[in-house]
Amino acid sequence: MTAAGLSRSLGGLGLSITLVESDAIGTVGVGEATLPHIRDFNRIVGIDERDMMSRTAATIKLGIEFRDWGRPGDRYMHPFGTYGETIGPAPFHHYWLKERANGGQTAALGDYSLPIVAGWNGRFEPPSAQEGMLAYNYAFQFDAGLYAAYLADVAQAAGVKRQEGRIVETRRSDAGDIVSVVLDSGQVIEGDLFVDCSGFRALLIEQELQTGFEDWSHWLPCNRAWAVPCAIGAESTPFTRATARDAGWQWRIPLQHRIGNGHVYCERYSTDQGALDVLMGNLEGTPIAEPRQLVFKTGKRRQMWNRNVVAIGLSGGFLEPLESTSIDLIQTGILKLIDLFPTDRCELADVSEYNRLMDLEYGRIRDFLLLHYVANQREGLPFWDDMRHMELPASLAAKMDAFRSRGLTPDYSDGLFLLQSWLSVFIGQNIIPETLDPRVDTMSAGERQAHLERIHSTLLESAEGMEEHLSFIHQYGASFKQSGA
Amino acid sequence: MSSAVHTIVLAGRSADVWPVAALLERELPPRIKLHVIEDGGIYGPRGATVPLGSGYHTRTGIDCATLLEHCDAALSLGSVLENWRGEGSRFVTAPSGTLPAVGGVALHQLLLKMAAGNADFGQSFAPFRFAARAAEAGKMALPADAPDSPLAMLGPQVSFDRGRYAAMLRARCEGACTISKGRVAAAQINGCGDIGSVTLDSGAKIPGDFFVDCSGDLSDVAGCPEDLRPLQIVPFGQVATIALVADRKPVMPIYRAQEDGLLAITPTASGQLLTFACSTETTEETILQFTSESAVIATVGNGCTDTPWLHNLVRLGTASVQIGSMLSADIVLLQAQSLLLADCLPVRSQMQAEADAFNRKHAETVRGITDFAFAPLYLGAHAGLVWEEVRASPPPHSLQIRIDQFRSRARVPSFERDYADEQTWTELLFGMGLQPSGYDRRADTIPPAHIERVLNTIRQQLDGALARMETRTNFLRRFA
Repeated sequence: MTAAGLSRSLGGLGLSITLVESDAIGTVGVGEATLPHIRDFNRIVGIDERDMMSRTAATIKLGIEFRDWGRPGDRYMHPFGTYGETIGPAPFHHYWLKERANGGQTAALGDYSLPIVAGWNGRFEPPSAQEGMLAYNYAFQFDAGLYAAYLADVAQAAGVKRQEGRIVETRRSDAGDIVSVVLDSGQVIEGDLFVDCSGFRALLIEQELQTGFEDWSHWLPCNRAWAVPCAIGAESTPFTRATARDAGWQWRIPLQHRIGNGHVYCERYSTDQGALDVLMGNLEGTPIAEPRQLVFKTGKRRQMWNRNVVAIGLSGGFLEPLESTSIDLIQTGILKLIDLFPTDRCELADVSEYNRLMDLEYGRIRDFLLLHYVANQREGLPFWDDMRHMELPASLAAKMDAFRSRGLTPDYSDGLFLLQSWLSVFIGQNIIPETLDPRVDTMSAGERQAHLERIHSTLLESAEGMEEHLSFIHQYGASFKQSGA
Repeated sequence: MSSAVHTIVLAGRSADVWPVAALLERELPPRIKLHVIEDGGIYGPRGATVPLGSGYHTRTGIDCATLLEHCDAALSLGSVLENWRGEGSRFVTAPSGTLPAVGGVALHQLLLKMAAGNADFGQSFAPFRFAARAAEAGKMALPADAPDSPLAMLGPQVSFDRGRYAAMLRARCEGACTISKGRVAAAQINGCGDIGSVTLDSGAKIPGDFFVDCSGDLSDVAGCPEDLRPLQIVPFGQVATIALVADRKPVMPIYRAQEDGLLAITPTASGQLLTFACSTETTEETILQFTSESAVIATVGNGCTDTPWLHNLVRLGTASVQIGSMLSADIVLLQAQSLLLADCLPVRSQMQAEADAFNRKHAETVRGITDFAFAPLYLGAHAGLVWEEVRASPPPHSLQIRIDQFRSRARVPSFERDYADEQTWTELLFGMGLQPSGYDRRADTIPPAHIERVLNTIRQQLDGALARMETRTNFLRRFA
C-alpha cells in the first residue's frame, strides 16, 4: 500500500523505490472493512473504483452496526453521514432529544440519517449531495489480501522494484541514520529514506532505532483475535456488524462471495479455546477456512518518524479493529508522508510535524474506540464491569462529561471520527444528556415535530428510491471477477 | 441540588458588553432573562475592523445594510501593512478563500516550482492574490453575489467606531433585556464559590444565575485569580485613540509600523479613527505626534487566561485576553468568544462540563487569532527598540510550527478553529518576507507545460472577474 501510494504520487520525481518483501512472512492484517477516507486514497493513487471492487470482492459499506454494546438487545449504527439538518440555533440532536424527553412520537435517531436508513433497508446509490441531510459517504468491505495484491500490481506498474528477501542486518551512518539494509541473500540495499512496514516486528523503527512504544493496553485491553471466513448465510448487508461478547466482540464483514468473521477478546477474561468456541458457535454459514489466531498489543510508537525511518502500519501502532481503523491509519501515514516528503534530507521541522499530526490522530481514535467499551451497561460480566469502571484518559473523560451534562459533542474538524460519529455512540450506548441546549426552546413543539417528520419522511423516501445493494454492485460493473479467492 | 439558570447578568463597558448581549438576546428563548450592566463606553482602541459575513454577524442577524446605516461603517476587502518590511514598504493582507489545488497540489506550490531560481517570486504570485488585487483596485463585492466565481473567495470586512457599533447592538436589545448603568462595586459569593448577586456603585443589587464579565471589573470584585499569563510578543502598554473627520480617508484599514509603535488607521464612512499603540516608556509628546492633542491615552494590559470560565462566571474580552488591536484581534476575539459562549451556555447551576468545554475551545480560538495577528509582529523587519524586543521574544508554539513549515516547504499547517484560510496565511507569510527553502515535491510530478496552461487559465479567470467587479462607490449605491 505504501509503495503504491508513494510511487503513484511521487513517481514522477525520479525516485527509486525498492520494496523488500519476503514470501516466507505472512501478512497479519485483519482489516477487511474500511472507512470512507479510503476513497480519497484510491483517488490519489489513481485507482478505478469499479475495477478495484471487482478484483477484491468488495461490497459497499455505509456504516457499522453495533449490537448489544450498551445493553444486550441494543442495536445502533455508526453511519458515514450526518443526522438531520440545521433547523435552528442548536445542533439537530438537541431538538430530537427534546422531542424524546417530552414523550413525543419521534423515530430513533438513526432514522434521521440517510446512510442508516439505506443500510437497514439494504440499499445504496452513490451520494449526490455534498451537504445537508442527503449528504453521506461510503467505504468498502473487501478481501484485504486481494486489495494488497491489487496495490502490488499498481505499485510495480508504477516502477517500484520488488526485492524478495528478509532483512538480516541494518547499517547506520556516523550520525545515526540508516544507510542500508542487508538481505539474507547478502544483497545490500541502500537508501535515503526507509519506510518500516514490517508489522509488529518493527524491524527498523524499534529493533534498530529503539524508538519506544506507548502501551495503551490498560485502556484497550483486547489483545487477541480469532478470524475465520464462512459462506454467506444471510444477506450481504451494506454495513459491517460488531456484536458485543462476554470478553470482547465479534465482527461480521460481508463480501460478495463470503463473510469475514472474527472474535476480538482479552486473554485475561477468556481462554483461547473459549474465544474460538464463541466465534465458531456464532457463524451464519459453513466455515470455508481454518480459524487463524492473531495476537496484538494496542498502542503506538513514541515517534512514527524517527531519523530517516517512517513507521507505517503495525510497526507504528495498532488500535484494534473495532472501527475499521487499521487500513485507514496506514493510508493516513502514507498521505502525511507524501505531504511532508523530504527533499534532500529529513528536516526536523517536517519530522516533528509528522509526529504531531499522527499523535493527534492516534489519540483521538483511541478515545473514540474506548468510548464503545466504557459506555456499557452490561453488568455482571467481569470484562465489561472492569471497562465501565476504568480510569479514563482525561481527554475522553472531558468529552463524556460534556455530552452527559449538556449534550456537547466533540467538534474538532480534522480527524477520522467527527461529531456525528461520537454522537452515534453516545446515543447508541444510552448516554443521554442531563440537560439540553437552551436554544431549543426558541422553537415551538409543533414546529419541532413538523421538522422532524419532514426530515424523517424525506430520508425514507430517498432510501426507498435507491437500488438494492447487490444489484447496484452488479449494475455498476463491480461484480467479483475471480473465483476461488 | 442544581438549580436552573433563569437570569444571565452581563457586565462591562458598552463596547465590550453589547456584542455579547446582542448574540445571546438573539438566540436565547424568552424564559432566560438578560440583565446588562453597562459601565461607560470604550476603553482603549475605538476603531475596529471585523469580517462582514462572519458567523457572528450571520447569527446575530446583522447584515451589510444595517452596518452601513447605523454604524458609520466603511467596507473594504483588505488591510494595508505599512513599513513592516522596512520604511516605505507596503503590503495588503486580504482575507481570502483558497484557490483550487491542481492535481492535489496547492497553487502556490506550483508557482514556487515554476519560479525556482527566480528571486522575484512575489511578482509571479501577485496575479493570483485576487482579494488583495480587488482591494487595491478599489473594487467591492460580496461572495454571495456570485458564489460559483472567484468572488466567492472574497472576505469583505467592515470598519467602524466601536462606540457606534455598540449603540447599534444596544438598540437591538432594548426592550428585550434589562439594562442598568453603573459600575460593579461588589459581588456576593455563596458557599460553593458561585456569584449570587452583584452590587453596583449606586447600591443596587442585581441577582443572577450566571455572570458574564466583559471588561474585568466584575472579575476583580469577585476575587477571580490574577491568572493572565503574559503574552510576551505584545509589547504595547498604552494606546492613544482619536476620531478625525477627514476628507482624505484611507480606502482600507492601515497598520503602520512606526519606530515607537504601531499606528492603526481605521476608515469610517465619515472619517477615520487613529489608534497609536506603544510601550509604556513612550512619552506623551511622541504619542501626540502621531495622533492629536485631543487623543485619549489609556494604559493596556497584556495577557491571557487559560480558564476564562470559573464557577458561574465567564470572563470575555479584556477580562480574559488582552492581545492588543493589531488587525483588530481584540474585537475579532470578542465576537468569537460570544459564539462559543452561546454554544456552551449552561442550563443549571452545575456547569463544570460546560466550563471545561468552553475553556478548551477558547484556548484554540485564542491560538488561531493570536497566531495570525502576531505573525507580522514577529516577522516584520522594522527598526526600533520596540520591534527588536518583539522579534527577540519567542513566538507561540503553534506560530513557530507554522513558520517552520512554511520556511521548510511553503506548507501551511492547520489547527483547530483557525482564523484564516490557507491562502490568507500563505499571502501573509510571503508578504512578510518568509522565503520557503523548498516546496511540495508533488509539484515536480506535474509537467511544466500543464502547469503553465492551468495557471494561465486561472489568471485569465481572475483578471476577468476583477474587471467585472463593481467599484466600491458603485457597490455602496445598492444601500443608498
